[in-house]
Amino acid sequence: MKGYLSYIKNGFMDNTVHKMHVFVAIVTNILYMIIVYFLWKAIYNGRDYVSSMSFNQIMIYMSASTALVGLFQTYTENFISCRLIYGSIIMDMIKPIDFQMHVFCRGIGTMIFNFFCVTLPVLLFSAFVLDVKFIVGFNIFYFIVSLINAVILCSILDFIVGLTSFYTESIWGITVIKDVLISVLASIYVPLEFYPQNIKMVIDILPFKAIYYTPLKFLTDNEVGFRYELIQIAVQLFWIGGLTVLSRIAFKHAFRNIVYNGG
Amino acid sequence: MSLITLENVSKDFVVLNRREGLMGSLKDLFSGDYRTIRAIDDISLTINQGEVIGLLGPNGAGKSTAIKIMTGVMQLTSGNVVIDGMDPFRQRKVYSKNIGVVFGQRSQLWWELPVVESFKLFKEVYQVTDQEYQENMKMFSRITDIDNLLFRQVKTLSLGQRMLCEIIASMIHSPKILFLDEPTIGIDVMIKSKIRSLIKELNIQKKITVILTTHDMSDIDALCKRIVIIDHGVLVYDGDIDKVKESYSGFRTIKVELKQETEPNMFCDEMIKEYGNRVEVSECDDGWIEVEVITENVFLKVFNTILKSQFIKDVKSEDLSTESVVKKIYENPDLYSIKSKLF
Repeated sequence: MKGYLSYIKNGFMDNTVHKMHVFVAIVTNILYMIIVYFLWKAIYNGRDYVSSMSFNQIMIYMSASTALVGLFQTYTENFISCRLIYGSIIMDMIKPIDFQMHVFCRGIGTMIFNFFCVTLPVLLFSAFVLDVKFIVGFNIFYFIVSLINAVILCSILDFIVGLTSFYTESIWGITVIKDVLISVLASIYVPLEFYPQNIKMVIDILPFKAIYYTPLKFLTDNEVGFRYELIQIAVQLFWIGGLTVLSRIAFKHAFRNIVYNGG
Repeated sequence: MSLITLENVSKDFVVLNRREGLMGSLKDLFSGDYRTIRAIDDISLTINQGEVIGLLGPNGAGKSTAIKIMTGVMQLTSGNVVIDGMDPFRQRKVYSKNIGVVFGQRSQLWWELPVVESFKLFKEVYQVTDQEYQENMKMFSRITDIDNLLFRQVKTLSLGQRMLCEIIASMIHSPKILFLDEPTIGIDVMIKSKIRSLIKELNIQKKITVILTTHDMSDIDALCKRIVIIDHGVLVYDGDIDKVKESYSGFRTIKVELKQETEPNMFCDEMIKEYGNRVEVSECDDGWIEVEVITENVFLKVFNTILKSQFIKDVKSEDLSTESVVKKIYENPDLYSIKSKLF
């Protein structure tokens, strides 16, 4: 267990090496929030509600989604594919550790770093400069629970995407597809409330919604009801279970067929 | 009881038959034309605790595949491997606690972080106690002077310094078996000697079994008593290095420096005329002529002839080096001819 904690620690430290990265991440995300603020201000154009959401709610949604996108940016797929394509995964496989847990812990380390250099600055900027009023109530509890689930779910999904490079020997295209799918189907840039009904039905049966929309919904709305909250968390747990099984099988299959490149 | 047992181990790879050129690469996209390559062919081997084995063979012979099989990261096609009472592939997680592995071409250190952070991580991963960690670090620093590298970022180290750190990283948990795949590739003599001292001391003090692949025969001379030679996946030789040398004891090299005005061809022709295919004559880079005596019982005769020759200025005789011996085995990988010579 302590071994895995060390992976979290090193994963965190690995990110602190590049000072410019921290600075650029803070500046670009704050600039992005300013653009988002004026864009939605233009869309609302003085109206109180659009698609049942108030301007304050949409700003909570957008600042939190920006904060989460930054939080989940661990480049795990690239890490795995690099390890596979250049054969250095062998150095992980000779250790008495579980490869998926190792990748997960590394990712958590990066997420802790992201929390301080993206998530926190974005939320503070939104609260104190853009005057977004976060709804603080019992919904925060559900938000935190669903956020933990989202972190796990996101890591498993990244792991599965990374594993595809076992078969494709390239990761770039697959990462782009994943990013596009997530940004549309997890409703990062536009809340689900704004989507047409038939697209919503498709999104409901896919796992992407559980990564972003579920925690964001809890944060923006504290009147969704106990039943809704439980169902959404159960859906997250269902996807965690299902995708974990899939990722274990995929890894086992890949590991059996692995051909370490060169040397 | 032996620590490592390989019984009739074989490993096949299935690879696509690729075609040449642009059209070929497009056709390959839809091709089902695969062929099977046998990387390891029916190898049986036993190794006891505390042995230092040199695993040799030309490039692409199957050495690294053999190491990957023994370290549990690659599954066999057929055969049986038992190391320390375990199946390395099936019991990988438990098994890997007792082994240390260095692949010369790959790194296990965290590229961006100071070396010591990787060491501390491995300490936790292998559940090494603080006391054991301190003791081991003390020993490493005594033998290799590692202290001044500990707080440097891995990416700022030279190849040799990094390799030294890689080897230490693989020894932090005092493994029972150490697999070193080309650990001294591209490394200067100073660091090479530190690495060798480290391996030697650990072997003596902690009875660590070492399996070493290398192309540098001075590594073998310094560390190994027993060598295992693989060629094209087949076990060509397994035994004492001195025995091979003994079997070639009649074979010696005579180096000759010619007088300035002499044409090398004149001397070479004279030797070949006299001894035919019982000697091999070649010109060295340093201008000396090398006469290899490759038939037994003619050394003195050849030596006498050379001494009487009017062309020579200086002469010296050398035993066949490990390198030449191994080269001879590579050139003539006939299992029975070598075995029949020795046993």
